[in-house]
Amino acid sequence: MTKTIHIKLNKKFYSIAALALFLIGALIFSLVYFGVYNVSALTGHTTPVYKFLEHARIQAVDARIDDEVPDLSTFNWQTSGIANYKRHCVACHGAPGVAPEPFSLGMMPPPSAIVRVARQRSPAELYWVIENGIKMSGMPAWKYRLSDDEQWELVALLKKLPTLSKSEYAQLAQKSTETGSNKAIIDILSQTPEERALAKPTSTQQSAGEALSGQVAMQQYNCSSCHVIDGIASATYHVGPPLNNMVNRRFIAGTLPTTRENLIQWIMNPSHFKPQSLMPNLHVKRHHAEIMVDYLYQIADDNQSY
Amino acid sequence: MQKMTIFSSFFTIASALSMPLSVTFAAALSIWTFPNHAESPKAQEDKQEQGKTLMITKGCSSCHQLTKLPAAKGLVGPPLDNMAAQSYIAGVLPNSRENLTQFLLEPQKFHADTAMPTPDITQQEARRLADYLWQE
Repeated sequence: MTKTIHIKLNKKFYSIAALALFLIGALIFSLVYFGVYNVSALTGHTTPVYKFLEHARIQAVDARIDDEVPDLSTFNWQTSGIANYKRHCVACHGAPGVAPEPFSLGMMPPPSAIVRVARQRSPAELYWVIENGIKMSGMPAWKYRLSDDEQWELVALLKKLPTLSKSEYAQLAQKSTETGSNKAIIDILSQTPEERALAKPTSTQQSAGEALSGQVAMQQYNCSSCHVIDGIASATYHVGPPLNNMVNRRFIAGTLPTTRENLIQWIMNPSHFKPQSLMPNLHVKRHHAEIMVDYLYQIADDNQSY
Repeated sequence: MQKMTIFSSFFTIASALSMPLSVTFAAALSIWTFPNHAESPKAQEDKQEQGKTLMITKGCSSCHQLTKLPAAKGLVGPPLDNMAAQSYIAGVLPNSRENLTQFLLEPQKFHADTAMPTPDITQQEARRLADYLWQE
């Protein structure tokens, strides 16, 4: 008698478990089938997906790195390393005080702020990522484009970058341009007319049909690679100060009194107010800067000051 | 094909859910396996205590916010949490304990227009403050 009851319970349990699994499966299938998850590059992943992907990436790289790292001081990062960095990397990753090119700001995931990765990751990890690239991230594999030594030079340079001030980097970059005979580097440094047009501060007039949220604007100008910002899953980095309660602080960048207008002006041209600041000029359009500042007021602790 | 999609999506969600747990566990494990200093815990604690006192007596706490020090909730300068992870000091100086010590001794030397006044501290006190801020 008891035995039959036991079997009945088991049957019930298994059928409920099977049903639950089926329902979860069906839910996930329909999420994919009906295209619920947005693949647009205008905003980042949701927090769970972002955390999952980031964790998976770190684990995947760590599982494959080679522990043998050559002595970085033997590599010529001052000239050849910087020349390659300027030619192949700066367009997406920027450099101390140097903004990445406009196209890279529209990439998702955004190319990481180089000094942040350089501080967080070991030389072996950096080398692996340069050599192999990362699938579906926009990071190319340089294995068959640069020699082993050239890639190590880049690693040696990356490890140096977080120790350089804006002017120190500018000097080194200048020197490598003077000594290097590579015309391609000089070409890539000089802006095309289209880029110059993009860089020009535009009028406050908003183009028709454009309704940009502050959250999207902050991601489209890559603020999230350097600042902690509420509401953006990837914005967890401490290159610059956190922006969560920014509008309630007395000074912007320790020098400019915090007002709505000053915040807008600062975002549009940081080096005008603080020439040695490592925050680059990202050529933010006025109406985008306004939307960003509105967003900063939204995420602040107390909305009364608005 | 559909089976495959269902399976891989299920796996993705399950891993996403369990991920924070494994991260916490890994972090706890790494803290437990690698004690950070050879110094005796008592001496370290004393230094931390000195750093905390300096934060308040030298006026830092009236302008800066620091979560681990509830008295420090100033909204004049930037918050000082996660200093060890911060790439730059005042947006101008590459961050290191040594550079932070130098900055604390004379902020204007590195950023001429800074609103931060020069704190009245000795070299050793600056060092203590830098260590205290760098401590996680």
